[in-house]
Amino acid sequence: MDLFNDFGIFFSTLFSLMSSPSNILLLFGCSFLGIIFGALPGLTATLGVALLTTLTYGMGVNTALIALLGMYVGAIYGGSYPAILINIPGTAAAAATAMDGYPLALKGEGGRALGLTTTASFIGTVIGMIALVMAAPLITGIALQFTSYEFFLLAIFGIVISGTLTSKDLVYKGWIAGLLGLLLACIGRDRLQFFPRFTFDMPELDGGIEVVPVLIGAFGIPQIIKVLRDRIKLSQPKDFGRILPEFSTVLHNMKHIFRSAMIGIGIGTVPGVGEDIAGWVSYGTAKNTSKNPENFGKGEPAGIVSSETANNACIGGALIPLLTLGIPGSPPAAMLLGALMLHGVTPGPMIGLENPSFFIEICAILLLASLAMWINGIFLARQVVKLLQIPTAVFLPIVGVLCVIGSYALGLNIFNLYLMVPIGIVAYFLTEMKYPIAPLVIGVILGPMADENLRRALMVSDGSFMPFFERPVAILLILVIVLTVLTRLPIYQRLKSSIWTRISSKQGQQSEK
Amino acid sequence: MENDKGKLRRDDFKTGILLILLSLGVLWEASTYPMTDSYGGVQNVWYVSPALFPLIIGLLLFILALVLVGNALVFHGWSAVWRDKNVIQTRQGRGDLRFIGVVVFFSAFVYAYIPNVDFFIASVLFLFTFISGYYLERKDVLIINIIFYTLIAGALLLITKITGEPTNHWLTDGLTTFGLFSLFLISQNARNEDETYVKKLRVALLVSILVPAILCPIFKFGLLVPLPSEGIYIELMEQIKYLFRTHS
Repeated sequence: MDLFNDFGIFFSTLFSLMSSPSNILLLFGCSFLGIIFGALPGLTATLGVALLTTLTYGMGVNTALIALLGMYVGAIYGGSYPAILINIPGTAAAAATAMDGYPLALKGEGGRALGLTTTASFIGTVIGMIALVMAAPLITGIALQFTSYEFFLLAIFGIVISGTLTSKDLVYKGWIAGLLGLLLACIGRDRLQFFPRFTFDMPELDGGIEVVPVLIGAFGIPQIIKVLRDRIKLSQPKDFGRILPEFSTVLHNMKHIFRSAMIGIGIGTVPGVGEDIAGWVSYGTAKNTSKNPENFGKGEPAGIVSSETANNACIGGALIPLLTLGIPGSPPAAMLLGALMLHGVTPGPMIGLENPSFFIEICAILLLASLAMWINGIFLARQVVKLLQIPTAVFLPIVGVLCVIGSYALGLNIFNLYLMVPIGIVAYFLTEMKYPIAPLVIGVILGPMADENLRRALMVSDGSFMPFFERPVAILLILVIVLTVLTRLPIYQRLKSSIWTRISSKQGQQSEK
Repeated sequence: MENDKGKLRRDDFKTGILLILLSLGVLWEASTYPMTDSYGGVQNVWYVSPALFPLIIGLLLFILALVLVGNALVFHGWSAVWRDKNVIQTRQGRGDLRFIGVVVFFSAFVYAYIPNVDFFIASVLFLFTFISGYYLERKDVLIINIIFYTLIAGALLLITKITGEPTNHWLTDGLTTFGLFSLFLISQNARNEDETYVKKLRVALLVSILVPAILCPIFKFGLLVPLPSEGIYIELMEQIKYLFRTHS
């Protein structure tokens, strides 16, 4: 009966949203805008969602979510345009798409490649949506049993895992970025005793640092500096023919699509690890399991389908921890968390109790967003490609003004801008030195949760750490955190290799005997 | 690849030292917070203290920074790290002026223009300086723009310091408008009979005026967001809006 009831809510939400022409216009407009944000190198899905959040300020929650999810889905898909047509991925998520998309465009089949990415992205988003609706109630059910012990460990787990997986150089650079985020989160009056920490007698810092200016500064300004400093120029897009949905090729690659969607959802649920990693892992898996791996990199449709399905399925995956635990699964999801809180919705285990139909409403909006993306992709691709010809030196300063007004408008506070600029410059240097930015942002978001719950937990146990080792979920989280850290330490690597050498030498001796 | 790694490890050494200093600062500052004494009438215990979390972060940051420095020293060797000029001289060379340009434009816009100048004209000048500085692809133009933009920012800060609160918008907006015209004329004089240059300059000016002319009304009248600083131009927009309303 519950299932029928859920279906009823799903379709009624779908029809009520579609019955309003303004909602449809907003959906298609934001989806198109998202594709543009994804397509223009230098702009990202995170920045698009961040800037759009400002404009949704006066809207209702559902209307705002239509705009934001439309932008999010569109931007992740839009990155594939320049990846296919000029071999420069518009977003990091589409980097793997360029591997086979561009060779296909060189063969004069750019339209076919775009058709494949459009349909694969649509299917990926829909499978991600199904995963969200199935997993979210289960996870919230479990999360309702969580106490301060689990929430503290969950926050630490989010930062550790995100730092570990997003670091491109030394693993502890990711952890340092996470700690810097936690440090930023400490600024302001603490929530238990209202004691001012790191405020240096500045009343503007009493309320703490707002997440949105940090996000805009950390993701927007480094991108502007990098593109203008390195003189990144776009070449002329390759000519492409008609864009068709390519259903037959998609059906032929159904095996890759399902596997990639599962990879995308799985990676999406890991805090802070986003669509870019999903795309690469899925591409690599498709290549390793293919009967003709030598075709990859030469315009293999399975390569395009794998990376695009995974990066869009990642959206649904990233929304699972965001909505059920309040932990964003990817950087754009982190921005979405800020936007939800701005609209008075606090994601977490209680959301299912406070608003039982919330997950289903989100799924309906996600389905509409993917549909709008597909229609925009099939019919308006040529218009988007024209925008690729705008010089970066012209549109990036405009993005700069949007960053400034976006950071200001959310709190109507000039002090947010004073913070945004130094955070942006520091984030640029950190990026240049291969520190990942996602753990820093996750740290800023999860800092208050970690701080508050650690102290509450110790308050309950009168300062004893023993309850952390008496609760099954807490033990599991401790084990995962400890193992994640230990397995990355050089001592562990050396120990592992010496054990392997001993085992193999013993086996060698035995075989000689 | 090896060079990249070598450079990264040198950078790690520098950031490691900075992070050690930062973590020591955090530990020192956190140690001044109430641990077991009373604050606001509440007797503290160590595990509820506001110092607990910053102390943990400071300690972890200190350890990781030490590992970072240690790793850099293992890679290059203690004497090599100190001997190498690159340890002290940071990323010099290609693209530095372009980097400085972006930082100067953003910093001056946020710290000097936005609080003191009408948002519309402040954005127009920011966009024109920024776009023409990079789009025209002339080093001399970028240098002139950086100097010019900084000089006006300095003059604005001086004016607001002398006149005090509230900001005299006739003075600050007037100076910014004068700056925009002067910079346009200077940029036009540097054209050297180059047709592409003139075309690009026109595009820069057009985009610089159009974007704020669209953005300001959207935020001010559409989203009802008051702009950071509203002077003579926003006032003019309001007059135009009322004029339209009266006629309709």
